[in-house]
Amino acid sequence: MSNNTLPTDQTGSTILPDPRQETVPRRIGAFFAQPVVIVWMIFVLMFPLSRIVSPNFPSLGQLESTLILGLFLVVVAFGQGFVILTGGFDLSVPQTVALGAFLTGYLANTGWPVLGAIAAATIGCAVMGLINGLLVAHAKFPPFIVTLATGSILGSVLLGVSRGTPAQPSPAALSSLFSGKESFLGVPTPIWALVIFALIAYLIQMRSTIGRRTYAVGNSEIASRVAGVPVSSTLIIVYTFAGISSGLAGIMLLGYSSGADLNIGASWLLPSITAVVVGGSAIRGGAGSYVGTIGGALLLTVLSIDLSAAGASEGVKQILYGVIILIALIAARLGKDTGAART
Amino acid sequence: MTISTISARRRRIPGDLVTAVVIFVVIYSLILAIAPFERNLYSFSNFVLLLMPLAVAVIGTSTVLITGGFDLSVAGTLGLSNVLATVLTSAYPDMGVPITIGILGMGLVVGLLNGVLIVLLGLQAIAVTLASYICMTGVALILLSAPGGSVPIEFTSMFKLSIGGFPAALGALIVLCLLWAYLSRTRFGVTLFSIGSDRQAAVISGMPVRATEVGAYAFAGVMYAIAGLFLTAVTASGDPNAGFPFLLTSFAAVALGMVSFRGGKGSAVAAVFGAGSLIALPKLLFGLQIQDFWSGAILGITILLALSLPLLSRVAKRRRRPAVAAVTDTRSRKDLADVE
Repeated sequence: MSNNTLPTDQTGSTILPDPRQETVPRRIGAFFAQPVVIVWMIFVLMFPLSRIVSPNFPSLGQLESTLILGLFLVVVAFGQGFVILTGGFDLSVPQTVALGAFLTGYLANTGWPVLGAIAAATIGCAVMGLINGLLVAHAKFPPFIVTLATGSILGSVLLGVSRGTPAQPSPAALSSLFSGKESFLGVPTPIWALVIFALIAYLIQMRSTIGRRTYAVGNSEIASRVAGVPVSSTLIIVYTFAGISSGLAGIMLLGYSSGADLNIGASWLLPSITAVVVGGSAIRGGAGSYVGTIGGALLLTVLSIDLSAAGASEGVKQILYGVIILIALIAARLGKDTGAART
Repeated sequence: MTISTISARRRRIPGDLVTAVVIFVVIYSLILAIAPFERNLYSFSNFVLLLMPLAVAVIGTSTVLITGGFDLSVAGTLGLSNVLATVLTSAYPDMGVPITIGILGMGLVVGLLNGVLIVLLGLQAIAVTLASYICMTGVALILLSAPGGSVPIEFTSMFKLSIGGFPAALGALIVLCLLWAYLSRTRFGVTLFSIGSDRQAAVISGMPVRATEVGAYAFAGVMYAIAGLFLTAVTASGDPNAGFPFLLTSFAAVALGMVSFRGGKGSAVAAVFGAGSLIALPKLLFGLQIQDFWSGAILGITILLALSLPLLSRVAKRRRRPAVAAVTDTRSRKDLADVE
């Protein structure tokens, strides 16, 4: 809005509209100042911008591969974001992803039915999350160091149990489901998985009792306790969900890459935090939305596809990642300031 | 107010320090007890050199933690320092000292940038330092795309100097610890602890909160750069991802050093002993002939045990003398009133 369109008084200074008056442009402004909206807008803008790096972009194939590759980050980032919402961190993501992938592959190869193996692996990862939750909620240890320690223990147990066996091959059914070669109603199956997971995760975080309680605990543990929110059990459930989502990501990665070694999760820890931060969540907890996290995850994925297409080196990619996090942080900060000025 | 904070802190620190030292002494004496080949100056000297990168890094990490902040850039600065040292010294073998100074400057600048972004723009520490870690890994990857390179012996020997069998590095570490102990008693140090325990109160009592916070990140940046130089001396090569292991081990070492993750409590000297325990642990397992891959599990369990130590002692204290605690509480409140 330029200055001359605003009414001025005799002294020439602008008469500002009453802030209590909710005008339409004001509301639109507030809508676009939300980090979630900004992330999704940048994500959508990335597609026409992709033309810069390759004349074959934008294409339907690019969108498809973004969604297929983005699936894993969307899944991991749900658990990470849920934990960050409580003011914590989950550093055991890499090992839990590896547990999910290893257990599924191992059990399926010893003759378990695929669904049984998946269920057992998911339960195994849920137990891992549960242990984290118990240590954080009852022993009151800082989540950062608890998950660091449990992750270190799990990683070493996996190494010990597997005795350095070569990578576990993926069961055929799982591979065909997540490799992106099969389609259902013309849409590749991993994209269906993405939609279904995102929907369930959205309902859990944004629409369920446990989701509400998580926001409360993240904002103020003491206030929540006073208000009668069962803080400990909320924390335990949140960490269990985080374990499950890491495990599911591991199972999906096993299918996608048709095999898994124990390092399969190593490259997902920092991106999971990055996606949550870029998606506009407060890293100290209490604020954020899963819709933003999905936007952040998909934005990072399309960015990395574009950078690879442009032939950018790993170093340039990393610098851009870092810069994007900083821009997201500053944008969120400015959005909050204007939001505060508005109300 | 300030005076009571200092006296309260003086009373608290020794406990943490003693615990950290005891953990280290127990682990190291067990090593000496079961492994005869460790009982000589040469092995000890090697241990010190191996310890240096982590020990120096945790001085920085714990200083930031004490302010209630969080610094993940340790991995980035350390890795970049390692890569810069490798690339520059192989290109200009005679410029060891200027290169060293330049790298320290790099650490300072990165730390200052972190501090300014966090304190002046009010951004979240963990996210800012994550971003700067990722950026610096990128720069390191551009300078050196794969692990390798060779560092001239003149440069590595500068850091591996030994005087009568004793590593000069140990002297450097002791000097750094003394420097930190001195700093923690200056106005800067007192402000550090006050920010960590109650930022609002520190602001109200007119302490230079912002400058001190930026200073903490800058100090930490220099420490990470020094740590990277010592790492270069040990490995004699560069690795753009050299910093990554330190992301986790530095926080593990700080936990073993009983530094609080909530700010306001702890000692960098104790964290150095925590780093010592962390480096000694695999040696102990090797001595016990426990397979290598279990070291992660033992490390995790040790961290959890170290975390539960204050918890246990608090429970024990509460059971033994609930009345005494109440008395000291009122006394300290009276102290406070007197000063005001």
